[in-house]
Amino acid sequence: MNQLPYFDINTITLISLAVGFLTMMLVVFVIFRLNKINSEDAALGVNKIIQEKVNRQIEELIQQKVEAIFKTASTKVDAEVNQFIADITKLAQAKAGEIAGFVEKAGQEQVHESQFFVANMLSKVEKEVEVYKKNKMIKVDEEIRQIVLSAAREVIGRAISLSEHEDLVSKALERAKKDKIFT
Amino acid sequence: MKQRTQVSKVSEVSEVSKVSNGAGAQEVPGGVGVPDATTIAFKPFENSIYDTHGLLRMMDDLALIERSLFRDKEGPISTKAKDFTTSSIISLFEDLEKTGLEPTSEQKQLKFLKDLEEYLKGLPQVKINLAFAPTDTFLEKLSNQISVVVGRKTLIDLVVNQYLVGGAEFEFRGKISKQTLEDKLGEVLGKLVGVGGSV
Repeated sequence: MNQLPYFDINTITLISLAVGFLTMMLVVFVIFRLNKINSEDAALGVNKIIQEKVNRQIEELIQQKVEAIFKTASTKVDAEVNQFIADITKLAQAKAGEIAGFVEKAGQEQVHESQFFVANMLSKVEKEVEVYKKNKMIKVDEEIRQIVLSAAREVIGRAISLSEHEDLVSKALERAKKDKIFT
Repeated sequence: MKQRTQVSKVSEVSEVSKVSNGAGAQEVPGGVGVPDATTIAFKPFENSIYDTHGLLRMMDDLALIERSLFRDKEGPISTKAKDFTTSSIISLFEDLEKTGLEPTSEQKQLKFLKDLEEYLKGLPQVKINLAFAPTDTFLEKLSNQISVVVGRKTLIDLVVNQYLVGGAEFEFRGKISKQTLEDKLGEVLGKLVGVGGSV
């Protein structure tokens, strides 16, 4: 069995005192550090407050300036826009007058051309209708003639006897002789 | 005067017209001129036909008779040809033999046949368009009448065209004489309807 080392009371007291002293020193040190930290923090807080105030003033100042600039610019822009609108309106009125003139002129030309075209077409169509009518009439006449001729052929052909045919041929021969086609 | 040089639209060219030298006469043995013995010998053949159909028949018969020569037979053409044709042309040759105009040797007989063919081909032809089919008698009468005017035997090349209605159209050596009821009807209708021209 191990035996604990033997210390006398003085030693123990001395050790205790040393330990107490060291502890106290440590506490003092810590307090000192804490105080130091607190003072730094306080300084920082003041700075922050000041900074915020400055910033606020700057912002206000900027806002005032911007508002002033905006106000001035707005007035200028309004004036320029108004001027521009006035110019545009004038230009548009002028151009509208020109366009109206052009349109009127073009319209008149168009009307003249249309009138000429219609008159020309009318004349042409009238001629074509006339020619068509004439051709149709000729065709109709020819068809009527063919029908009548066909009927006549049928009737006369049946009506003529063989002796009459021969007689007609003899007469035709006499005529051919007179025409001297055999000489 | 109604002489034209155009050919009628309804006329047709017959086979004889194709083989003959136009409608004109040819200068063949026995042709135009002073008739000699050969010409006189051809007359019965010429007189037996009056149109192109008769001519074609006769040409066929003569072709057959030519084949009958040189068949180891002796004697006149009629004797040699009897086995090849029964046509009435045989009787014409028999009549010819009686007159003594037919040659005796085979070479001369062949020449006679060739000359006869040429002579018949060279006969003038007149094209006639009629509206009806005529009788043989009437055709013969027409042929005779025309032959008198032409001064030589003239054959008829007949075309039947009912559209002529009546009358006839004659075409001879390019000249045309048209006397038909078709034309007369056309003229009358032209006046009535107002459209002129022939049909």
